[in-house]
Amino acid sequence: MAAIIKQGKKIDDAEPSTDAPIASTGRRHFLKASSAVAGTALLGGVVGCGETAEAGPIHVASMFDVTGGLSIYGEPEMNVSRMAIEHINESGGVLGRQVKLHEYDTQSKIELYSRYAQEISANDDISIVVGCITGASREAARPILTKNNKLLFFPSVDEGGECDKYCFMQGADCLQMETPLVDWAIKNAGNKFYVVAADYVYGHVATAWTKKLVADAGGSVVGVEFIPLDVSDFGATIRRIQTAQPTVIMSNLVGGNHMAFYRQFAAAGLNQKIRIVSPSFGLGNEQQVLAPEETKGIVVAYSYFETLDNPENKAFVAAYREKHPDAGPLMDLPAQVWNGWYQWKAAVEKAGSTEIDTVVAAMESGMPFNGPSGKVVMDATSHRNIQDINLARVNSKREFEILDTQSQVRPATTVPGSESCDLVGKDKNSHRMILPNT
Amino acid sequence: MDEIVVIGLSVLTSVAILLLTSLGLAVVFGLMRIVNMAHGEFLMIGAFTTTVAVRSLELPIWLAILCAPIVCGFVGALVELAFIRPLYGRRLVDTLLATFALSLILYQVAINIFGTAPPGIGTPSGWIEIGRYTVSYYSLFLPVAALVITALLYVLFKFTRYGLLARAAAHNPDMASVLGVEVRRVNLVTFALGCALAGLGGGLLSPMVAVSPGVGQTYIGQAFMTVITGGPAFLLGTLSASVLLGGISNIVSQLFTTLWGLTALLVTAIVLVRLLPNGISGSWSRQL
Repeated sequence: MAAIIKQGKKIDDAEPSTDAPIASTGRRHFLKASSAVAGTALLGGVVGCGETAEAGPIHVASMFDVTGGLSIYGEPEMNVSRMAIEHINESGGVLGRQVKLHEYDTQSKIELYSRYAQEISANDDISIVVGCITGASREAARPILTKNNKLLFFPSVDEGGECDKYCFMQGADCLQMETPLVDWAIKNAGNKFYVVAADYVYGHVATAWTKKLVADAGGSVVGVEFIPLDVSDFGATIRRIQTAQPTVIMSNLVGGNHMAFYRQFAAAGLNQKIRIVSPSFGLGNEQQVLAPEETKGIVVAYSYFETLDNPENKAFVAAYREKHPDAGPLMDLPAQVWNGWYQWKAAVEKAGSTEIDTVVAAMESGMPFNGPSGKVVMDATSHRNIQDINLARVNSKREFEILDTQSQVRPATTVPGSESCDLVGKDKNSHRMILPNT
Repeated sequence: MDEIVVIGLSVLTSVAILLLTSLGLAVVFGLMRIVNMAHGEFLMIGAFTTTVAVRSLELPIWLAILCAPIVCGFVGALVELAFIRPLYGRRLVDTLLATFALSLILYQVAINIFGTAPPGIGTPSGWIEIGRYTVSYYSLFLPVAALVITALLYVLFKFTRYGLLARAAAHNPDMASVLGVEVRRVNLVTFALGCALAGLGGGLLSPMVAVSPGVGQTYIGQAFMTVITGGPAFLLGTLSASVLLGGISNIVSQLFTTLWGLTALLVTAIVLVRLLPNGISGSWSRQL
């Protein structure tokens, strides 16, 4: 039947145990429904092919790096993706139909994003992908998917700049995270900033935002340094920081090698007198790898923390911990995967179908969803979520303590020094990425 | 003034890091001519040994660092018996392939045991104030440790009977064998020594960097560059190359940015190999 699609070498074949319940309920439901249709068909004397297809499961996909270097992010994201679909199915599915998740393990390889995006594009049943981790992987998959009329929900924290009618972002952008950080730093630690940033597109855009926000808030940036991703000797950087004598470090560092910065910074005693604020610290569980005396006091901003005190989050964490008792702390990305699936479900139910333009219109209507990170509302102009941003400080037990919550922070609609994006106005047919002018 | 002193100390630390991550390779590749692609993984094993010894066995850090060469020497001996021994005298590419495979295996085993974000240990505390600057004690300790280790190795290879046999077995195994040297056993010990040195390097670095399964891969490229530009005198050549490459890289980092520092290291290595194809020590009369 049309509902049984060709499986290829996706990992959902390799992991029947986790997937089987969905598939089997889906098929049972489908059998019941199709026999009902067959019954009416007998009465009416017509066999409606379209109606049986409607009654089958809705096919959706996730692409995450479950293995390889990025598995630290990808594994929890895929786990939450699977969990969200299970929960949606247990509560009756979407439009009364079960949802079938197709899992693609991209193995931390960009080329697999392109290949699987092609595969998904060739599959008429799949209508949406919640996936991708890095900006580079999103840009490998996004143009292929959206050109072929597939929705892409991107759940990562990122630098912004996507301007694509068929792409929606759940993660916070630089503006959302850095505004509260800069405000907090100026109020509590002084207004002389030194920026250390990873030397690739994220670091450069984030730094452009930092400069703008610090200037707007009346502070000054006394130094900026971009660090290649494979550097782990920060002797020269630390000497330069001491020469510049800032009161605050804005760290846009990323990845395993860069964790050494926090360690060498503390070893030279600088953490005694200079505050670190960061929109990227913690996503790779830096607070677990580094010693508490090195990270204590670092201030970060994310939409989601495992310790958030709301009933949706309590239920979310409990369900996750039941399935994955040994997993590390839940960070922002997996929570955004959950938001993504539920926002999609609400949009499809409002639209009454999975047809892409009606779903996009429903998404743009800005229905609020209360998820683990609190209330989120899709902003039609930027296709990013308006969401609460929490400021948190690392304590001496490797945990984040919430300092302050800024509610319903709006996302950016521009890239600093570059163009703006308006997906319900001038860019309503755009499928592009705005690049920074750095 | 204080700035110049601090830059000088920072240069010493960079040189020490390069030397400590290269010494093991100097013995295995420089002396024995085995292309050990798993060198980075031995650094990683050393770093994890120290981390685990501090965190789980609660040993003091100095003792924990000394555990690293013991564990790595032992692993190195097993690797020699299983992978390297059948490949002596074969083409370089054979050991390259075998050790590359070994590197992939050890990396994945580390992920399976420790995960991708394992808890680490902090730098031993304390810092010294120099004018406006502060410098951590540990970054001053590293150059001292590197120098002491190099000196001990020099004494070992220059003045002991084992050192003589090791060089003989590496340079001309047939002749050494004819003269009654048990080449197989000597090579086993030398390979294990090289791995132990890599482990010691990893152990010494572990409180300064974030230890993860990929930690060694950051250093392996630079280690090969250092040993190759060092040339045939595997100890003093490697020492000179570390001073030159590490020094230039750090000074350029200080004057411009870290990116230029990294670039300067690569450019220097390329120019050196072009001008002195046999390495810095190519024209020296000494063999160490």
